[in-house]
Amino acid sequence: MNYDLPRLQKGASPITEHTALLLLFISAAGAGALFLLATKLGSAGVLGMAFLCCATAYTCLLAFFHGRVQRLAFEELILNREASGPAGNLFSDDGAAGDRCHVWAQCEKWFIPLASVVLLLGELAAAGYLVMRLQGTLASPVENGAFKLWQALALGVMAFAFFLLGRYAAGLGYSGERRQLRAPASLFVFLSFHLGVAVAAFLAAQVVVSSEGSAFRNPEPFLTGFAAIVFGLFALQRLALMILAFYRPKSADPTQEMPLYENRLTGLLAQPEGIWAGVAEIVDYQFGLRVSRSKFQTFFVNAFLPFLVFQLLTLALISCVVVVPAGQRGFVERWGRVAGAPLEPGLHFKFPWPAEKVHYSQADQIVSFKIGSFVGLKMEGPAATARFWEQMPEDAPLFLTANQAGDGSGKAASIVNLLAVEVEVQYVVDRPEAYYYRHATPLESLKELATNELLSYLACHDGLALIRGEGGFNLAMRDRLDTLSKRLDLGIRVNSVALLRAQPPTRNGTVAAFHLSMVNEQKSMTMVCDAESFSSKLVPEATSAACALVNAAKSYNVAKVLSAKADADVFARKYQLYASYPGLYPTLAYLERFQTAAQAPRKTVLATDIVDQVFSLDLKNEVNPEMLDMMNAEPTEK
Amino acid sequence: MPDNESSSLRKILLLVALLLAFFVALTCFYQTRATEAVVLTTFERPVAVVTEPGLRMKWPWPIQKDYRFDMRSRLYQSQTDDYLVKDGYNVKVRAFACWSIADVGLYKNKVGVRTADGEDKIATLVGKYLNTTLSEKRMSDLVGAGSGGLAAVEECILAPLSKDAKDSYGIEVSAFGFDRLELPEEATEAVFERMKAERQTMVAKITSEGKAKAMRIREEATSEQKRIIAEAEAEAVRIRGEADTKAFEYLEVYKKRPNFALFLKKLQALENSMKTKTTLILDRDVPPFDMLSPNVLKRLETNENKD
Repeated sequence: MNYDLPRLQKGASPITEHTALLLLFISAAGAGALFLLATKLGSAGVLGMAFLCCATAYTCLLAFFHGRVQRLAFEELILNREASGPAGNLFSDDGAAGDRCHVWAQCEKWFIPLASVVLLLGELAAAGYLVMRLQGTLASPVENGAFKLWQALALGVMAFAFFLLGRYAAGLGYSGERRQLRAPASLFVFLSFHLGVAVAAFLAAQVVVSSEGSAFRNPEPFLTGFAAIVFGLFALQRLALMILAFYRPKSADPTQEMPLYENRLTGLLAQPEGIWAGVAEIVDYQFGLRVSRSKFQTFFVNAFLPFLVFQLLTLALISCVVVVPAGQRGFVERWGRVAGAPLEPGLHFKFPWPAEKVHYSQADQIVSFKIGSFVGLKMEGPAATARFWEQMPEDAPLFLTANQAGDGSGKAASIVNLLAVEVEVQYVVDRPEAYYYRHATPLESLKELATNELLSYLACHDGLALIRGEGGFNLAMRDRLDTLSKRLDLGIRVNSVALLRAQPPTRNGTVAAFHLSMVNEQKSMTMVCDAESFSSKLVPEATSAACALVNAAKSYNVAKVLSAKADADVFARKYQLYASYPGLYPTLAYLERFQTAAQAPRKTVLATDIVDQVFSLDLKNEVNPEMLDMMNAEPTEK
Repeated sequence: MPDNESSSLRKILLLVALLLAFFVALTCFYQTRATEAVVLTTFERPVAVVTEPGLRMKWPWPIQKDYRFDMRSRLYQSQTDDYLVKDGYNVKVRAFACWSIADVGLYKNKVGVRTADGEDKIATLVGKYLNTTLSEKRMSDLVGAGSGGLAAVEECILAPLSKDAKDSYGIEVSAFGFDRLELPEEATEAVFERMKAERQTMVAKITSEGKAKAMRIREEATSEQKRIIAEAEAEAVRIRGEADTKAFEYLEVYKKRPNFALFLKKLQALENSMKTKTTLILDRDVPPFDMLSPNVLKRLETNENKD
């Protein structure tokens, strides 16, 4: 390749090295700051950005060496050119190319590919580490309060500075002689976008956590995943570029070759207008529309800054509008001081951020939580739908309860029972200002207090009575918890406490023993019920029979007396008759009575003169009609 | 270096300088939230404690710094640790405490500027007082129907803990309690076994008690039945006796004409005795069968003539 002198002079300027060195220092400082921040927050996502900053610093270092070697070679060429004339090839053995050019050639051939392999390995290692972190638990720095607003501001400023520096370096790298700057420039621009994404994610999580929303409280998985994907993609495209580098023909001019440490993916970000220009040129060429010189393109390029300002103003205006969701209250803070009464649900207006900020707190809605042995346990299979005693996991935490049936020995195994319980607490935030401003974690405090009260209650009450459903557990717990909540000014009113479940532990067959005793208790109760049923039947029957006896006696009494009285009266009257008719009355009375008596359905009258004879009658058998003929029977002698 | 590139670099440096100036200007203001207190220091020497919320000015960083402290009540939860109680058992205890910064100046001097530092100090105090207090308590003081229970033990810990935290670190402890209390594994196993044995004993006891109770109920019922019947029978006898006594009072009438009374009773007896299937064997002279006598008409004529 022949180089004309102006081009060599341009390439021989130290601007590439200076810029690369500036970028190197800034990226190294950025990496250090990000490492510190990642350590402070315990954030894998920020750590990913720190890795990316390190990769950028490494690329800057490569660009610096690459640019320096190239500049020294160009200086040698200029000197040789001035000494030997205009002819000369960079990689030929003519007099123009000396030791420096040889070093440059070796650098292009060996140093750059090897350094790129190191970069590739670094990217793979970073991706692997981040994936490993993703598989673990990633705590939210927003939720645990480690993340502060000034950190977001610092990240945002860093992103802005990186963007400006990246664009500046990209502008310099547009020239082929300073092509080495393209790689760090594109990485700087990409890093600024990555930082912007992180700031947005942290702020979004901060808003969600402040308003006690449930979604996106933890930006860590997103940021870590994003960084892992970025490193994975970088490594893939670098590997592909290395493989392709073996097969594609090399240009005679190494300044036109893309260095292996350059990143094509980020290159699109560093020079986005190149995409537009390329597309416009294609349209120009294919259709002749002259898009590349259209007013739209000019407007697009020139109106960027006003557009940015307009966007910022829009954001400021949007921050003046507050919508308080139902079941919440909004607290407006003007420069940190609470301004006015809490905002009720609905639309409100305020001064723009950062003069006024709104914080949200829940209110009005009845919320519940559970405490006890089953909190956090994953129920699978039938246990998820039906709660039988046997299905309680053996590792569920148990509560110590007093054993009233203890033997008085004072031994731990004697004075305590172990019980698994589940309790639901329903509460409502009745004073949102106390709930939000007096406690950092009011709900967690209430849960701890509830657990403590449950522990205290069980420790001095017979837990087995709870299983049987005895005692006023629910009311007592509610009163105690509500009193505590008021004493600590949690801003919470406890509506109700409900014992959902109380059971013996499943380990060592304890549940089976309880089942057996309960079955026997049922049997025993059945026996007692039967006996009571027998008793309840027998005693009334006896009472009834006794009443009947007494009543019969009373009836007898009445009948006897009345009958005696009547008999006496009848006797008196009959005697009067007898006195009047002494000869006739007895006979008449006798005959009347005889007649009445003789009207019985069956009778035999024998009239005979023989009175000293005995008739033998077999009366065991039914009397035959023939007996009527006894008058004709033969009499026998005595 | 070409002029346009140099100019571009100058612009960038100017922008960076402006940014730095902006940052320096930002550090001249500090804001105190309603939940916070700020300790203002000049070259690390505390010069003011600001508890009133609002926006204020200060000298830029690094001359003056503002250290913020969240004044809200916080929750501290200890780890689960083993503690030895007086009667030799070791119990697994996890405790919690609600704490807040009461004296910001003292807190900054003695503890530091981070919330985690305060938690460390609380953890130390909680561990210390748990150890000393639990070592003086018996197992029955912690668990038992007759004891003051955990609440009494918690009170024993809260009072010195709160005083010590306030005096030493400027921290106010508003609540302290246990949220986990467990026995060691061996004791837990022993409790399981005892509970099982207790249940098995209870099975026999319940069964025998049930039988006994059922039998007692039945016997009581039978006894009651007999008593009721006996009482009723006695009452009936008494009533009948009374009836007979009363009825005898009417016999006075018969006493005056005993023969006639006897005659009537005989008639009645005759009638009663012939109500059932009766076979009578009578002499022909018994009236009215004497009417069957052949000379009955003659006797009647004779009697008529006599009359």
